[in-house]
Amino acid sequence: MIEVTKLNSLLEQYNLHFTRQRKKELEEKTTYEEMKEVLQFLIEELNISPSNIEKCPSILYWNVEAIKDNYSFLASHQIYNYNVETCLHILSTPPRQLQETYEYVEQNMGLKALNKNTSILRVDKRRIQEIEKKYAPYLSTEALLAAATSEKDIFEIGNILLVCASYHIPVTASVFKQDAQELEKIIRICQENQIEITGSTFHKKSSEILEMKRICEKYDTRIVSSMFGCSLDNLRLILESCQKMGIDPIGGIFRLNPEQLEDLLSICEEQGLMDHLTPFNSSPEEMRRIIEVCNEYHVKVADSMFHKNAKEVEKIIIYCLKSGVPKEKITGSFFKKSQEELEAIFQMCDKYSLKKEGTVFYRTAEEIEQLALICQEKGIPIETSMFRKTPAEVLKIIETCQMKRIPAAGGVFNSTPKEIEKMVTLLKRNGIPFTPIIFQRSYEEAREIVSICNYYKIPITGNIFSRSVHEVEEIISICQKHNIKITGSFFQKCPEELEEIFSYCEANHKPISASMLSRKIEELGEIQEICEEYQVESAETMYKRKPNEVEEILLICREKNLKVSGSLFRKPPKETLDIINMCEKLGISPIGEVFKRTPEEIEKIYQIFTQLLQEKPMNNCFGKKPEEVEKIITLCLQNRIPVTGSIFRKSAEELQENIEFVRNRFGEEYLLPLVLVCDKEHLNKVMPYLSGKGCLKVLKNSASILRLTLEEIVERESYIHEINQPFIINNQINPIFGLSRKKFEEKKKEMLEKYARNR
Amino acid sequence: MKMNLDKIKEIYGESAIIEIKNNIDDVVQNINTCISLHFRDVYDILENNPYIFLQPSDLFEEKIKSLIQKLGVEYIEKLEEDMTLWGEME
Repeated sequence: MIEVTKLNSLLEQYNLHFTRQRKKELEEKTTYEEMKEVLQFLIEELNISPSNIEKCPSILYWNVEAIKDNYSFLASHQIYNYNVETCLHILSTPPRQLQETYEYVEQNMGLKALNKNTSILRVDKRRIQEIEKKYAPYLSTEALLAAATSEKDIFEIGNILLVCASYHIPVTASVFKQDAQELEKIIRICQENQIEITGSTFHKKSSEILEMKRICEKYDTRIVSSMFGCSLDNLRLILESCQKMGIDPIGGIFRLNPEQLEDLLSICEEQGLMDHLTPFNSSPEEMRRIIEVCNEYHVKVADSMFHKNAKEVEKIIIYCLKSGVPKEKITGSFFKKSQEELEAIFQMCDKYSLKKEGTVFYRTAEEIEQLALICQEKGIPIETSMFRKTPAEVLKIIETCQMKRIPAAGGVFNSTPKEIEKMVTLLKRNGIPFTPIIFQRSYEEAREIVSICNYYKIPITGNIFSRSVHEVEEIISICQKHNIKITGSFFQKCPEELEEIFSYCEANHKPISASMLSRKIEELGEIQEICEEYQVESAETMYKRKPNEVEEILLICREKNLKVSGSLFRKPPKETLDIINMCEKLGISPIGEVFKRTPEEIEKIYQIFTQLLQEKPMNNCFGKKPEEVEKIITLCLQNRIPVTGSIFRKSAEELQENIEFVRNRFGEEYLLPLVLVCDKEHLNKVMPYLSGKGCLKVLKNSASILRLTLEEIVERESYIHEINQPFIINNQINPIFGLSRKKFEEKKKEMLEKYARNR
Repeated sequence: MKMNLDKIKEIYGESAIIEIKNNIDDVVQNINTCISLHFRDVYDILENNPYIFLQPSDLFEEKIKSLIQKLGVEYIEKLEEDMTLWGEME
């Protein structure tokens, strides 16, 4: 017996709280000294938390020596401390009984079963044997131990098994939480109300399940298995919170109490995770710890992190950083793997020079190696899109591409071999050059798009396949509505954006241009405003730049007193300014193709021209790099060819080939710019023809006839014969060869009409 | 009327087609400039003188205005009679 005041002071000393009834039991069943000894052992020596003792108050009137004996036995026999702490009633088992049960279960069922069902240690071995003898064929190890722990008599256990058999319910540990009659009621209620029966269903009584059903109906949701671990009050509060926040009450949410849920929802809202509610796998405290870790290492929070605890997350982050992954590249995919798996994958990435990011984590280390070896064998570079498929699938795709003679790259790995074959056939049948963008669409979609384009006679380019069928139709309709000829570049934009741009252009009387399509509608407006402010006409190339860049460049023009021209917007402001400064330094106009080069290249080209030709460079030459310019000029000088603008349209290699061809075939006198810019095959057709007519020498004075194909030359020659004119007049090619196509057609028509009149 | 890329390829080679594709923005703009100046068959001009259309659009515009000024009000007639005059745009 313990006197009340002494009991209260002892409870207060150890921060224990019991109901009046429990206190009454303690007063009667133990003494002050015995209880104090037990509390000293449990709380001061073993660090058992008071809350666990509150769940198992009967330990407080157990003999402390027996408790100590039991604890040392369990500690020396691999029962994890955690399990003992939450199953304190085990310690209040008679030691000999505990030891016998331990030995029996460990020998016959294994240590794993013991740690999973630690409560079995307070059950007499003979009870376990009795149940085993009668019902072993119908029970798994776990179910058997649960039946033994349940304190139900042998007949009741048999009745429970009969109920399970009648209703085809698997015999799991949880069926022994209820007696047979209650079990049957629960099963019937679930079947009548289409509630899925899982292990956790039997944690509740039938009356509670009916109440759950009413609560769920009120909140217009269905019963899910995780609700069965939740009290009815908490269920009500959680569903109300979910309704208020507009979120689906799913999964792990019911493991939390309402306060934890509020806490967790506010964390999710703060971190922008409301669309990814898998954080409900974590408690709010763990979530906060994980977020703190992320903030410490400046890593973005990802919802896959919440499948791990904060320590694991930190370990992975540290490992990634040590392995050279930049913190901004540490994304959710890293946390879908264990550290060991990550280490293996990183090793493969290092071995095969792969980036440690993105889709590579879809595969195991072994698979990554297999993929790398396949690519090596096939002689193709490894691509990140390959990691979405297994090595066997990738190999089949590569083989299909090789058979169909298309590059095994890019979007093709999002497809299957069969689909690839169908796509290639579709393209070939419709005379469409292969484009990898087509694999953004399924075969059916691509076929429909081709059909639509053929119907509207729209040339099919790659861009078209970046849009869905519906979008293609809409874009065509928008173009028709605005009376604009459809080109491939329009499919860069979605229909809504295109409509906005067209309407903007119409409202502002601007012709639509391809560069505009790289800007958002707000940016077009901003650029227009900037042009008005600076009182300049907008140029097409302005739209290659963002509004702030346009303004910067206009400021540069103002400062440098330059006329605003489209070329100035080819490059960002800083580079443009550097080029202008270089042009100023060299005394050349900052206009045109000079903006295709860097300042250093411009200076080099200038030096080449002044050294080799003693003149300033012409604008055309800036289309080529300095090394190429030097080669071209050197070739011209070596072969005494005048250096004109059009010469720089050919590469040095082409020019060299043409020079040798013309020199060997026709002679040095024909090494003229207008001849050398033509294709060899064309020269090989036309020049012999002219030579046959005795007219080749005229090329030296007027090579412009080479602008016509041989067929055109023959056609015009036929005409001049009709009108009795010679091929050469005053040592020049007949001017008929200099007419535009339209003019020539008109003259032919005149001639035919004249003949018709004279008949 | 369509641009005859095959003719350009035949006369000037594949490299000319590549250059056109690489400078397509300027080419398109220059074609539009010619259309706005009321030339009747701009594609014929392009097929005969593809290299002048590769020039940056601002430079092309400057040169064509200079040429038109030189030729006078009958610039269209003169250029249709003698396509070699386009050589001044080089």
